[in-house]
Amino acid sequence: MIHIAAQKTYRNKDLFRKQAPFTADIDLEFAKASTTGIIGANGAGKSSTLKLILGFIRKDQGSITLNGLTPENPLSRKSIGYLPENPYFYDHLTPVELLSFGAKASGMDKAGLSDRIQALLREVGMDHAAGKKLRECSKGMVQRVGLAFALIHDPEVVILDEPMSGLDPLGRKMVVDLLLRLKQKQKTIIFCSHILTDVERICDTVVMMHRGSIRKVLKRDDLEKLGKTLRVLLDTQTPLSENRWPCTGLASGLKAIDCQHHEVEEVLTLCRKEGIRVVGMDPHAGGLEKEFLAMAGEKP
Amino acid sequence: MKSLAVSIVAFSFLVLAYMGAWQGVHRDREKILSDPMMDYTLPSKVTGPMSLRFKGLASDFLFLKTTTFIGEQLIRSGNLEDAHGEYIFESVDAISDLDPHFWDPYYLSFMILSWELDDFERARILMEKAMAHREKDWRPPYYIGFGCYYFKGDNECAAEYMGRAALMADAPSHVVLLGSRFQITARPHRAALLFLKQMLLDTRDTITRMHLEKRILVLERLDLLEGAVRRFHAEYQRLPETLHELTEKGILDAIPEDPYGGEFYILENGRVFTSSALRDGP
Amino acid sequence: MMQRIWALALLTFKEGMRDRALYGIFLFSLMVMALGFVVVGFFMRELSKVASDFNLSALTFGGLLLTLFVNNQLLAKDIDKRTIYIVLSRPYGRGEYIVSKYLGLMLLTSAAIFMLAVCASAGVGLSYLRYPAYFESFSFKIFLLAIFGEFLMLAVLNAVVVFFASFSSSAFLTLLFSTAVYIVGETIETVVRFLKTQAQSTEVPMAAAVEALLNVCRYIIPNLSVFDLKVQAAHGMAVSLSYVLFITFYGMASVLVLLFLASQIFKGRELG
Repeated sequence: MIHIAAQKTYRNKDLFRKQAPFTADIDLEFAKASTTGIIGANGAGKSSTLKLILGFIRKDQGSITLNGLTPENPLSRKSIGYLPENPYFYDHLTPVELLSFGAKASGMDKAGLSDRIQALLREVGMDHAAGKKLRECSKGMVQRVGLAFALIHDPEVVILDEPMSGLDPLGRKMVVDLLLRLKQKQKTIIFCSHILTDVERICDTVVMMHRGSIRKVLKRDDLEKLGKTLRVLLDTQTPLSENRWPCTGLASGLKAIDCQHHEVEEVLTLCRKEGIRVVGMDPHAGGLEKEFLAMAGEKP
Repeated sequence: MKSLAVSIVAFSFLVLAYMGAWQGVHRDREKILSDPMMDYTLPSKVTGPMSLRFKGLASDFLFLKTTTFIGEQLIRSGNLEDAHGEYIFESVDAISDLDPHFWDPYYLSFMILSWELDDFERARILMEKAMAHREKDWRPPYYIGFGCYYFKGDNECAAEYMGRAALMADAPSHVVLLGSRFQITARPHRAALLFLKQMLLDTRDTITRMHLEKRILVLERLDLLEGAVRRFHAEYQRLPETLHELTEKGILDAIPEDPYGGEFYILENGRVFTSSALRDGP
Repeated sequence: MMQRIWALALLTFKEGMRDRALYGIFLFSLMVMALGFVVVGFFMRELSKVASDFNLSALTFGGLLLTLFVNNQLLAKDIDKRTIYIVLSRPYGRGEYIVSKYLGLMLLTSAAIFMLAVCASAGVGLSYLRYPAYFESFSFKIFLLAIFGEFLMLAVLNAVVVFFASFSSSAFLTLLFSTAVYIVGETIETVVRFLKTQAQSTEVPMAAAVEALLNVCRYIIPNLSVFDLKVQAAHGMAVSLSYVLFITFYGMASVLVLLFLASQIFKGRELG
């Protein structure tokens, strides 16, 4: 179980540009076997949260514990697998060599290791390039190897920073399936992503961050509720007379109204009354995306 | 097509310009190089630290520079001047600061300074340095000893240094003999005898032993004779005119024979020498 | 713990071996050795000295290039390109990281020195075959001992590089500082002796500030000239066993101090 309640002040180290120091305040708990997704705009502090947990950067105040151990203690990482954002690996190595290192670094036994490596590479779709130097691999291939590296030692906690980045749709499906499998195995998963639909689908908890602090923490039921909105598409220039539901203009020239499922009848009746033509309905209203945009647009 | 032709023409023009410039530069450079400019010797206090841990290599390069310079001078004008001597001295001094064990520079400087430039004093300074740093080498004292004798006619110095050389391991046998020869002309035989007897103890080579024993014998006899001359002088207040006076007066029983086959005779200063001059043969 | 340290050391070694810069350095040293063979013929009598000087200097120079450029880059790249994350996300302490990287660099250096030593010996051997009469005072045993001395110096210099890399933010700065320490380490002995004799002979005492500065440098900065046995190798002069043991201990002690300091500094470093 990972618990983080810490503050960190970032000072601008530039000699010439003066910027006011900015303090991040993070208070989160990651329960065992839970799957948490962290979302936020670029620079919101998602990666920094992960780095605080892993001990790459130090907190100024507060406490961070991983099963009772602090990040300064290397043993806290004994059963953690990490995939960094935009991973770079030692260019001249092959995936097999990299995974072999990962296994030995976490104290795995040599017995059966090569089989395990092959199996894992197959799982991430890299078994055909197992002997290729990493510098000759594409970004997507490197990303897959990185995933395998994070999982080679069968860790209890999996921390992934933008695991989908650089992957084609097939690759993304692979990652989602993999994460779901890990979830079944009762692993604790923490990951950052920009792809909100996947976050919605997999996570028990969604943490929304903005400018270094946690803005919202949505549990499963909150997510379910968000999923119940419906989008009604209207072909009109004038807005609806009632202001109860948010009305957005779409690029196609149509207007869209987002409302709850049970409110649809009311909306349709109103439209008929005001002579507004209803063109269609979209069940995938992107509730999480809406929340996200709302949060990001909020004044700090 | 046209752009390719233009590129080729432009490039050819550039190449021609480069070649022309090259010719011009090197023609003028020859003038500069042929000017017999004396190379400045960087003091070893600078080159030492500058060469970090490559002092040996630096000494090699500086020596190469020195020999090249001397070679060029000799080719160009056939002989060297005093200024060149200065340069050689300073250069070898600096080189030997970098690597005090490096023999070749010492040797070169000694040969050139003594033979070509008639400057044995300077040569000796460097050779003394060699002696201080190459303690087990017979060559430095040998050369100094020889130089003392040949250039200065200083037999005492020759004897002293030659003696030191003879004491070193691997000293060739002729050094041993030369040492004792200088001993004879410079010092009383007694000292030479002690010296030679010590040599005899250290020598295993039979032929050298034979030579040494013969020399010891003649010295003992010469010493005997000179002792008798001194006794004669003490009694009669004058030196004997011939050695036979010694036997006549009963100071000696008989005049011993010269193992080299010559005849002993007395010199004006009371020293005794032999017509064989301590050499075998006629 | 040992498995971890060895795993990272091996990783560092592999990464370094596959870097083509290593082969460039090797080729450069080979050229210098070949040049040495040609140059030997220009000299008078002490040809064994010249052959020894050239080949050993080529070896040393290759080792210096490797340490100051390639090894330095390996460390800087790790932090720059964030490959360090994949290491530190595993149960590595910061101190373990420093030690493992150093071991990896030393594996690389040892491999390079071994190759260079073979070439240096071949270079001297060639000159010997050509001019055997001038090799009377040459001793291969002492030649090898001199190579060992150069190796010790490189072990200390690598520790210096690791030390500076533990807090420096760019490969260039590490290079600059390490080179400065190298130059001071080589020359400090000569400078101190020179200034002392000057103070004695001219009877003008050294300025207190100068003396203080010199003493600071002497004790803090490792004296690298003690590892230089090339003069002895050039003239076939014997080196006492006790001296060899002492410089080995001195080298190891310097390395341990530097690595300890580097670990402490690195423990507080932010890798954000």
